[in-house]
Amino acid sequence: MRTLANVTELRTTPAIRLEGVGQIYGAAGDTVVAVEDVSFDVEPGKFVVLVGPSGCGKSSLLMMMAGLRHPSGGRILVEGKPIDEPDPDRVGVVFQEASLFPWLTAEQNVEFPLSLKRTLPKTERLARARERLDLVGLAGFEARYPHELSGGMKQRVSIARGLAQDPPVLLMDEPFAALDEQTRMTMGDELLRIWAETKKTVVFVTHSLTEAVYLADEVMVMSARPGRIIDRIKVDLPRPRTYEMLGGEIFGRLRDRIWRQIRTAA
Amino acid sequence: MSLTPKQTRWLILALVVVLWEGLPRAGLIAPLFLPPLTQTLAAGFGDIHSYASHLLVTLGEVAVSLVFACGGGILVGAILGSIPKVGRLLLPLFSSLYAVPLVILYPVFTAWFGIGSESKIAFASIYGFFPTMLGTAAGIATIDPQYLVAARSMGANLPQRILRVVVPAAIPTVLSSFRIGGALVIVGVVVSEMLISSAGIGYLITSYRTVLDTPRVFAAILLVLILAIAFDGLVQLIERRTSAWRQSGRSPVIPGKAPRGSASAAAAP
Repeated sequence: MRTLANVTELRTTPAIRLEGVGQIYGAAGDTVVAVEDVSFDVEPGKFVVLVGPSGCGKSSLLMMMAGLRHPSGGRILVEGKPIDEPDPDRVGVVFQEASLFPWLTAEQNVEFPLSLKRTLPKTERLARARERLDLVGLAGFEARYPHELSGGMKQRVSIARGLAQDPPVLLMDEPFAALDEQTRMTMGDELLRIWAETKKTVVFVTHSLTEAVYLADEVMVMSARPGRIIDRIKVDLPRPRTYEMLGGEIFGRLRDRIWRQIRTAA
Repeated sequence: MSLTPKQTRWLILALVVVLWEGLPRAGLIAPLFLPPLTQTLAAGFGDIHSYASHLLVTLGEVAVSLVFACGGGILVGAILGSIPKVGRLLLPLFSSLYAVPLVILYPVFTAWFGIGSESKIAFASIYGFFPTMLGTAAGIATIDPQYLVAARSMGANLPQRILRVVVPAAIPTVLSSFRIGGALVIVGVVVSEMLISSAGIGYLITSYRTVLDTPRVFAAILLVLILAIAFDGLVQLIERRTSAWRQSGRSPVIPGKAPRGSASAAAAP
């Protein structure tokens, strides 16, 4: 049995913690406040979706969590430690599109982050890459180049690459935005399956409210510039999520609430 | 019945060969202007030693100029392409220089370097340098920044980002500018040999022309053609080897089949 103290201890180390995070662009005198005073915790294993009007700084926020940009104020902790630079052992990132290297095969793309540190021998790295491709449902496509894959398959490779070093946190910046509706739905289900299998903490940025509600444990709504968190909405739909829920009463109510927030915020 | 593009190309080539032989033989063109193909080949093989030694001079000049033009062009282009500030400062200047007919400099080069190989190398190097440099700079400057962000997110440091992202991403554009620059090097060498020189295929063309020995002139021209086509074929081969991933077809296809993207003719003089 766990003691109460231990449980409290576990609860106080969130996967991601943002403390008063802000982002200001531009030189002195001519500055734009992109993100202002954002604080929140993401518990381990949770699926959090960030939504908000265009240009509200949700991608900026994600890039800061990835260590790709430095906040102008506040701090970001991943697994209890500050993230000052990209750390693929803690955080994997999946981008919108075209971030796979076209000169590498699917397998080599997934192996790329592993090859940077050379801690594993090549055969083991490739075995790991194949394992990840298998996880995202691309067994048999290892030798394909990105141009030989469909949009959905490319994003599967991106997810496999983001998971290559088995980081506890996966950040996704509108990963399915360039896909058609049907592929997008399928990829949503696939992502939920992968998430359930790997038990990662996911922060997912999207424009689609349906996608947000369908995927999330919690939806965070951001305001227009300067971006702030103006609402946090728990999605208490049971898992696994199914297509039938999309037409349900709870689903509609949640989506309406998010839409009203965004409309007033924009 | 319809012909594939490849068959059509061979057919056109065959037609040129037939006309080259047939028109002078039929008396439709004076052999002074165009000697029959067989006569041209006979002239060439008759003097094979002379042609070979002059070809060797030309090849040597081309090889050294290639190193200067393409090596230098790729190096300078890489610097200008990867440092935007320097690029913005110098690229417009170099672009306008590229438009200058550089052949006007050749008399100066002969004064500086003499009429031997040095002046040819200097001229051809500068002639081939500009397109290689400009192409490389453009190729590197237009690399999708998303690739570099992605590499950074995976923990790649600066040397890794250069060697494993910038270099492979730039190879196709660098190779195609090398192809253009190299063709211009051949042009530069042959043209300068034709102007003022004492050896080389260009020198042969000029000296045979002044004595109206057209079959030997054409034999030399054929040799230059073969040289240019061989160079182009070589670069195409390298392109196919290194850029197998770069395909024209966007749709998912079965790997293994590699259709060529652009197929342009050799830039022969």
